[in-house]
Amino acid sequence: METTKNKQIVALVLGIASLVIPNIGTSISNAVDTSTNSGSLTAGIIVIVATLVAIIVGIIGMIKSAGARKEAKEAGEKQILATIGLITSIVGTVESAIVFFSCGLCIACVACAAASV
Amino acid sequence: MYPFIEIFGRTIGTYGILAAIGMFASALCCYLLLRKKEVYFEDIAMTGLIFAAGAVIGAHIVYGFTNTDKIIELFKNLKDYNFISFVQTLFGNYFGGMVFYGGLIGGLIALVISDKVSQKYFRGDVMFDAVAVAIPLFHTFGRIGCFLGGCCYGVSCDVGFTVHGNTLYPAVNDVNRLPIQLIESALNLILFFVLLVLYKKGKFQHRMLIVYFYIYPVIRFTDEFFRGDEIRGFLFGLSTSQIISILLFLFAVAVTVIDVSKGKLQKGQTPVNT
Repeated sequence: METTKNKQIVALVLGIASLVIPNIGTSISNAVDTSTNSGSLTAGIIVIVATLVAIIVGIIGMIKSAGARKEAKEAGEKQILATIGLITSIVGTVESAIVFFSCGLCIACVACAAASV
Repeated sequence: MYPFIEIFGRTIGTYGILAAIGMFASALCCYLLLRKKEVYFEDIAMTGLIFAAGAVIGAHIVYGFTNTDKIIELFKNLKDYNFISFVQTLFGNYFGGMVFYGGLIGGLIALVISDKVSQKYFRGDVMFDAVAVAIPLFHTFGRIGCFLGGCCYGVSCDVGFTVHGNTLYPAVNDVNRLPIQLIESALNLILFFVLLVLYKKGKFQHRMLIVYFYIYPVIRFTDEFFRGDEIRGFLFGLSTSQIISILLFLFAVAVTVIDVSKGKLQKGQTPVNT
């Protein structure tokens, strides 16, 4: 019986979540009417929160999947799920970080919009 | 210059993309250099994560140092700000940017702490040399990102590029400027190959970072004289990065002096011990 399978599945789920969350956030923010200040503010906050959550989930996913891979290796078990979890976590974290830091100026814009609402 | 590009209908900063490419390239470089030393994929990933965490914090803190006078002014006039404008000014404007040296020092401090606390993923004795080789590779891509984004630009001169319509850095517009970012990028690439050759030949084992601290500060100190942006803070006629360059170079000299003196001691002790 594979003793690390549950840990590997958790890592995989976190990795996939880190990939999906920012895209959900962006899709929701695209649906918001940004022609008004409050609309822009809402859209900006959704993207920032979604990417921030994805970064946190991705980092946890990386830590969990790295640990699961190490444990599976030591136990002589297959590490496929943990490897996929690690890759998806890395991609999700980097993608979210790019969007988050690219939108660093947007944070200022959001604050401006908030000040003028 | 292209500060932003559109991918799948999403506008993304080119600097971020180049930084991500640099991260993957340097991680791959570390992996290839270390795969024969029982360092696995997850070790490299966690090392990257630890370094990135320290780098982000360090880069923002050092950027804050370049705005010390403005931050002091901000706290003096605290009553003129509401909470949102205070947060926007402090974190958006004064701590919002990043400085390479801050990222480098922050990342290395994070790795040293990680090495001391637990060697589960990052093992300094094996991995520091490979990290030192990978740093200039990341920086090569980072500076190309700077060029595309329009930041860290050079002085105005006859050779180089003229940019129009950069909304992020308006000062760069309509002035012919030296592409100092590309020059530094090329020098970083050369430095990467120099360190790679030294690593492959097994020279300066456990001291590759010191070799980097000898060469890169000289490059940076010189290239700062050709930078056209003045947002990095100036002390005693030198920029913050030039002062950090001097400190890092002196640190490298100090480590070498200690190494040499220890080496002499060991040589002197050898006949007694044997």
